[in-house]
Formats: sequence, structure tokens, C-alpha cells
Amino acid sequence: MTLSSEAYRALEDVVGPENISEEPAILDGYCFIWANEVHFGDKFSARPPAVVLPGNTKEVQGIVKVCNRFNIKYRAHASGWEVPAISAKEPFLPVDLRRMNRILEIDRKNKFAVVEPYVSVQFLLTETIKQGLRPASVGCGPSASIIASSTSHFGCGTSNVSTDYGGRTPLGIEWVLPDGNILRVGSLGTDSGWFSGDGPGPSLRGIMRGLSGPNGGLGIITRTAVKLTPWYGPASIKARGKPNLYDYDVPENLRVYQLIFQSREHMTDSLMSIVEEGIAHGLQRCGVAVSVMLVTESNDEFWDTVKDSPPEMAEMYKFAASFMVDAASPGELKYREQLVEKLLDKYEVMSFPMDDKMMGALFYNLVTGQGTQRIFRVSGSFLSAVGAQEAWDTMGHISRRCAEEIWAKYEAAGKIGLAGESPWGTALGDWGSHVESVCVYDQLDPESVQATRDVIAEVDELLPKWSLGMGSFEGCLSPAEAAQKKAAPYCLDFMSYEKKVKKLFDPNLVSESTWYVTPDK
Amino acid sequence: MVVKNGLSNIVGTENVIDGNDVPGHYSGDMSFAASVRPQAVVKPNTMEQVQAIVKWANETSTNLIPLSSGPPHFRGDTIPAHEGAVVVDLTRMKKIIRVDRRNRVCMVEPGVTFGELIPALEKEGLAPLITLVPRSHKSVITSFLEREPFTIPRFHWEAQDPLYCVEVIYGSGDMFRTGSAFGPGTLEEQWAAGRAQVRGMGPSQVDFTRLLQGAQGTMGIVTWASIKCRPLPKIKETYLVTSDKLETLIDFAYKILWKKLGEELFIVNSLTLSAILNQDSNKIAEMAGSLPPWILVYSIDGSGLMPQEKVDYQKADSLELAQSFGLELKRVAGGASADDVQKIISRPSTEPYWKLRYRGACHDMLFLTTMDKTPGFIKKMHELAGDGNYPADDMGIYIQPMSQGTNCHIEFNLMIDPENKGLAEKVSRIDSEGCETLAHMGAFFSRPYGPWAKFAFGPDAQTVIALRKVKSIFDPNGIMNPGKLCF
Repeated sequence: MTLSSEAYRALEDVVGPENISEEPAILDGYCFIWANEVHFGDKFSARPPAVVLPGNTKEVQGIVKVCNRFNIKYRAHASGWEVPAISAKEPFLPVDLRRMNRILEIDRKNKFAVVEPYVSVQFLLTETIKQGLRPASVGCGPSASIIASSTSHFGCGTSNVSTDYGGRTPLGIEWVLPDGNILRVGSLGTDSGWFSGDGPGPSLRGIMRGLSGPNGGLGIITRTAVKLTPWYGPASIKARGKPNLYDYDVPENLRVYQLIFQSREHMTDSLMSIVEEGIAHGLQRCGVAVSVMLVTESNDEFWDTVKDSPPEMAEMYKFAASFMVDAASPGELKYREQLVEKLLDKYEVMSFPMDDKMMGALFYNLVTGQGTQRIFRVSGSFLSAVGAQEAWDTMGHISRRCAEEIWAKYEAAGKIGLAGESPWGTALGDWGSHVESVCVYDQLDPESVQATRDVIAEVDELLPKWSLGMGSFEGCLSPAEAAQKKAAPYCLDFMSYEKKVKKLFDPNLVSESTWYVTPDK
Repeated sequence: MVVKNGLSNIVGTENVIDGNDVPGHYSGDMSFAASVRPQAVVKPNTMEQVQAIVKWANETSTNLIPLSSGPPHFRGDTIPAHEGAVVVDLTRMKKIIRVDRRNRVCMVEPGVTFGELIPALEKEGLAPLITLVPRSHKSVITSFLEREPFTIPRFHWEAQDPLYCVEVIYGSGDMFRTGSAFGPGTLEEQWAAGRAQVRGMGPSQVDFTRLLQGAQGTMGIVTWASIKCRPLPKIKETYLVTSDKLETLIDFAYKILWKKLGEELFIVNSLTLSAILNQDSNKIAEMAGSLPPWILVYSIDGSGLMPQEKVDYQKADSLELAQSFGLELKRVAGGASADDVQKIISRPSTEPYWKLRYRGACHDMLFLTTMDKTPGFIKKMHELAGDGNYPADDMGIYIQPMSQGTNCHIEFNLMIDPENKGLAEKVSRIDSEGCETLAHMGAFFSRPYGPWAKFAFGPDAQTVIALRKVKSIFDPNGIMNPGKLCF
């Protein structure tokens, strides 16, 4: 796709000459995203024809109208962490929202904040903990955009047991639709404020996103209110030490645990009990290796730490979780500590002894999702081979069957690394859980890339056959509807409805749809 | 006769009522909606029958009005807007399909009431999330399809709760299952794989459940739903926190919500609490007169591994908090016992329905706002009542924190003598004119019944355009409850 000079001038008229560029050196900055080679066979995605940086909703609307007029495919770009932010086979116009970076309001009493797209989890957390509140964390880490995770992509994270799944936190929403009209969802639409995202009548949040968001395939969200959750820690979190390996003190009214379970059943029962008791601030299924990764600076240091562990210990750590309780009062802390002890006794759980460094790292990870990026360290790149959300038992079945029936043969071939039956997972409010298994691969080795491609395709194929779900985060991380198409024969016909939504709301098909649906049959 | 024959072929003659045999409660309710007699009422018993009815309606261009609760009705949403409609009465669909203690979820058909669900859940160690003393014939599914608030804000994480997945026959005649129930596999295969239909979002990139909520039956007919439940408490202590100043109770409620203490939490005025507790109108007036103006109902549950210890610490923290506001956690107030309140709010209403006990009829005005803004709306409602010559003392008020305190439902119950036509007209005027005034003050009519739709949709054409696109997907021929909302 190229831009005509007329189209370029029209966009320039909207944002001003300083906020649009077609300089190759700048555009190449929009060509790299991890895992592009898995999906599209090239380390770099196609160079865009230009990049445009709006500063407000009116400019976003202006850009979208120009795109409709000149048939330019565009995609919103916020923090740009996830693969669908940039990855594509064909070029498109990135609408880079980094100038829209303000927290517009924090309503302390009613526990919500209004943000623009470039506000990250970390930025909002830093400001809201001053007022005793916090946003949902995101698994991909604190640099992720609040709006991207809650409205447009996925949104599960380490603290979701107390904040709920990020996709369930939006309230009022300002949305530039694919055709350039502005839709104000919920109470915002009647000028009542930002406090509700549902109604009048049927909730248009249902079009904005499902389990996952449309990944830029259905317009641009310009402002959102998100629900916040009480924070009982200090008004600021102090980091010590040097970059990449900060030390944190665990606040006195929080307790961090690394739990080791004797069996899959004990783990599931125990985690379900913790959720039902309603005491957790953060809860994630992860092995001790993840904690070690958080506190080591390099692969060598990591290996030095774990290499002498006996094999039976690795097996024992297969069923593990990290967990944090918080408390709003001394009485609550005492009760929760006693309850944890009782739970550990009941399910014969071992609490792994941690030093202050590991405990501090785990604390910050459970609050913010900080640390995920270290997975890149293992082999240079990774993708989640499976990701799904439903009841806790299902997540256990998924990790077991994938490990036994899929991972084993790929690991034996030695081209990629998978975590056996030791995936990452998290609790989602009081209703269910999320599980995903990371596949680490070497992006410079074509065989490793192909193995990654193959393992994801196999999961997409088998998960529906096992009645365990749809692969690739229910299609969210699957370009060109690949996972959806593999699941469709085993499901009720959801795709035709999605395609009608796309057709009706994006009549000119300009909201770039690689990671959403197309209206074709 | 053609209609009766067509429907009888689907459900049997005994399940079709037509012509003058159609009981009056299908034609009119306690709202100010114009009375329109449906040409027939059909009572299916299975999803297949519902699907056949919707397909028949598309073929014959007949409008359908879904209805799941028994009378009396209050909102006008189940009264046909046009002549010639057929009411699809789902009250025969009473199966409790599944109760899953492990995942704290049940699956029920639309005719199941809270009174029927409660004992089934209790057997498994669960309790429902229940609306404020619902009427005895109220459908559980309809309550939550309509986003009615329930009394425990801690479990109300967001507007979709406690509804998860539904099976629906869309207006197009197609059957679909929302959320994680869409597949892969049959329900039985999903259960065997450990799935429990606990994820309402999706499938994939559209939230189909959310598009049915608040729809007043304009998108399709729900034939079952999976609904979040809570553990049955082993111990429960309930308190009445009273004040002459609503603002003090609101500040206390904000703090309780921030500390995530307790279970039931809502504020009512003295008339509402008295009407809930008493049967006789004289006793209602008497107790309302002896109660303080505002009562916050607050309970603490003990469940799980350490129920008593939980109650003990939460009680201590709540007491300390109450004292900091100059409030008390009372077991008895103005002749009302907290234990009685707890028993009553855990069950559906006995007959007559509590809103009808004081004056015989009741008209509700309800909307969403934030708790800190409720005193302003109450002041304005009193002004509107005064201007309309309606006795403000006959107005019940209920404030329910929702979404864990991010917003709240406020409801004004304008109780009236049904024989007093003059007063009914005054209330009708307050309803239509007051709605506009309140909307301008920021009231969000998220469930816009009857004339409220004009103010709920009026300010924003894009919402109407978007909703009509949605409607065209699921009900392309516009047969589902036309004349409601913006359709």
C-alpha cells in the first residue's frame, strides 16, 4: 500500500506536518515486532507507507475519515507490546497514539480512572496507589497500555484474582468507529459521566470486544474509564539497585508465598479454595524457575542457580503457584495468615523458602506483571503455544494433554523449548482461570521458527477436538482467523455473526483486520 | 384460528390461548404502557419449541413478546406495543439443569424463580445472588438479563454479573450459545472436559451475552442461562446502621466497599424497609414512622475454612469504622430486627409483593449513578413529588452499590392507591417529566423502559445507529418485541 500525495496532505492537514512522517528511518521503527517470522515468514513486518501521530480524539477522527476517503488501511498503535500491534503481511498506516498519554481523571470514591491510549499499567498504578487504588495488571508487563489490554487485545494478569480480567474492567468508552463516527458507550453517551459502560439497552461493549478485543480491526478507542481495585500498600513502591534487577521491599501488610503442590489435583483444589476464600491479591500458576528467572541477571546466572537441582525436584515443582495476600487492617492480616496456614495444611502444600530478594521480585511481579520480558532471554523469542480461559479443571486438562500429547515430541526434537506441564496461569476474579504455555524458540533458526509454527497449528487443531476450547487465546493471537477456522467445525456458528459485525461497522474495510475477522464467508 | 393452529402444531392446543381467553395481565401491567391485547399466548416447554415458534413468526410476520416471570409486571416491557403480537410465555420452562458446587454455578431455564432455585442450591451448599426481595414469580434469568442489581456488591464485579452463558433463539430463528458455551463440543462433552460455562465473554472477539442484556427481549429468546452462585454461609450476622443523614451512610458504605468487608450492603429509606418487613399498611406506616429516615443494611458472612474467625475480624473492623463515623451496628432499630431483615432479604417476597402492600400499586423510577450523587437526585425527586402533588412520604427509596461500588442503582418506588386515578395521573406525569429532569442532572437510564427511552437514547444518535445495526444481525425481520428501546 502506498499513500498518494493527496492522501498524505489530507492526513497532514489533520495532525500537522510535525506529526506525520514517511521517512524510511522512522518507518522502520514500526517494522519490528517479535514473532513476525512465525506468522509471516519474515523477521520484519512490511514497512508502512507513513506513520501518523494524533494528539486528541478529533485528530483520530480526522485520520479515520481520511482513511475512509482514500481507502487507506489503518491500525491503532498504543504501547505496541503485543504481536498484533504491528505484525502484518501487508503494509498499513499505524496510527501511533503515543501523544495521547494523559490520565484524565482518578475518581477515588467511585474507584475508576479515565485514561488515554498511551497510559501504561505502570503509569496508572504509580498515580492510583497514591489514592489507595490500583488497575488490573497485565501478563505482558507494566509497560502495556491500559486501553489496549482492557478494550482491544486480551488482558489477563497476575493480580486478576482481585481486579478481575482486564477485559471486564472498562466503564464509559469513547470510540472512533471504523467509519469515523464517534460512539460514546455507556453512561458517557448520555453525558452522565464515565461510571458505567453498559446500556442504555443492550451493551455495545459486546461489539467493542468479546473474550478478546478486535486487535485494531474495529476502529480506535480514544478514551476509557477503567474500574480500579483497592490498594492497601504504601503510596509509592520504592525500587533499589540497578536496572533489570531491582530489589523491592514487601510492604508490611502483604505476604508473598511460593507454593509447591504434590499433585495436579491438590494444586487445582487448593487454588480454587484460595479463590473461594477471597483473600488473594495476586495468584498465578508458575514454577519456581520463574521466580529464579526474576532474580537472576542472565541465562548463565540462572543456570548456575538451578543446574544442581536433582531431577526429582524439577518434577516436584511442576505443580506450583505464587500467591500474595493483602490486608486492610492488622486483624485482617492475622486472619488471612492463619487461613493460609490452614489451607497449606489441608492440601499438604509446601511453601518454598524465599530470601528477601526473591520475595521482593515476586511481590512486584504479582502487583504489576513485571518480569515477563525475561522470557525473551531464554532463546531470543517466544510465543504462547496455547492460551485459554474457563473453569479451573479445564485448565489442568489443557496443560496435561498439551504436555503429554503435543509438547513431548517437539521438545524431543530439540528445536523449541516448552514448559512441560508447568504453564503460566492466573485466576480471573471469582469465576475461572487462564492458562498459557510458552514456547521459546530461536528466531534466527528456520527450523526452530517452523517448529513453533507447527506446535501452534497443532494446538489450534487439537484443542477443539478435545472440547477444551479454541486455540491461540480463542483466536486473539491468530492471524487470518486461523484458529477460528479450525475450531468452527466443532462449535456453533460464531464466525458468521462476527463477520456481520465487521461488515456493518466497517463498511469500507479500512480498519486493518489481520488479527480480527474479514467479512468474507 | 390460523395463528392458533400454527402455534398448536408446535406446542399442542392446551398451550395456546387466543382471543378473549387471553388473561388481562398479558395486555397491561402496573406501568403506564398502553394496554394492548396480544392475539395469542403460547407456552413452549423446550428450546426446540421456542425455535419453531420464532421460525413460524418469521414466516407469518408475527411479532413475538417473550415473557418469563408471572404477574404482576411493572415495566411495560412485556406488553405488546402493537396489535397482533403473540406473547411467548416461558413460565413452563422450569428445569434446573445443573448445579455445580465446585465452580459455584447453576444452569437454569427461564421459568425458574428464586423460590425454586434457593432450595436446589442449598442442597449443594450454594446460595443465589438475589435481587432485593424479588416478587415470588420473578424469573431468575430475566432479573439478570435485565441487569437488575443484587444485594451483595462484593460479588458484583461488573454489569454482566452474575450472568455467564446463555442459550438463545435469536429473532432470526437461529440457536446460539454465548460465552464459553458456544463450543467446542456439546454441553455434555464440555462438562466431561471440566468446563462449566463460567465465562460469559465471547466467543472470540464479540461478547454475545452482553448484547442480550438490557435488550428487553428485542434480540431473541433465552432458553437457559448459567449463573454465578456463592457459597452458602455457615454463619451470618446482619446489622442495621441508621442515620438521619444519608450522606453519612454513603461515606460509611464507600469505606466498607474499599475495605471489601461484608456481604449484603444497601441503603433504604424507612418506608422501603418497613414495607419489606410488614404486611399490613397500618403497620408499615407505624414502623416507617419509628425508624430513622435512612437505614444501611449490612451483613457479614462466615464461610470457608475459618467462618467464625472471618466474622470476628470483619465485625471488629466494621465496628471501628462505624464508630469513626459516629454510627452503630445495630441488631434492632425502630422496631425492625436485623435478623428479620436477613431472613426476608434471603428469599423472594411473600404475597402480596412488598411494593404493593402499602397502597396497593407502585410505580418505579430507576437509573444508575454514583453513590455520592444520590442525595442530589433524592432532593430533586422530592421537589418533583411536591410540584406534582404526590405525597413524598409514600415514596420508597433503595440505593444499591454495584460493580463493587463503582456505581449504584437508585430506585424510587412511588406507591399509589390504584383506585385513585387522579394520583396515578400525577405519578405518570412525574415519571415522564421527572425522567427528563433527572436525565439532565446525569441520571443514566441504562434500562430505559417506556418513556425513559426517549431521554436515554435522545442525546446520542450514534448509540441508536449502532444498536440498530446489532438488531439487524440478530433479528433481521424485526419480529422481537418491536416498539421497545430504540427499535
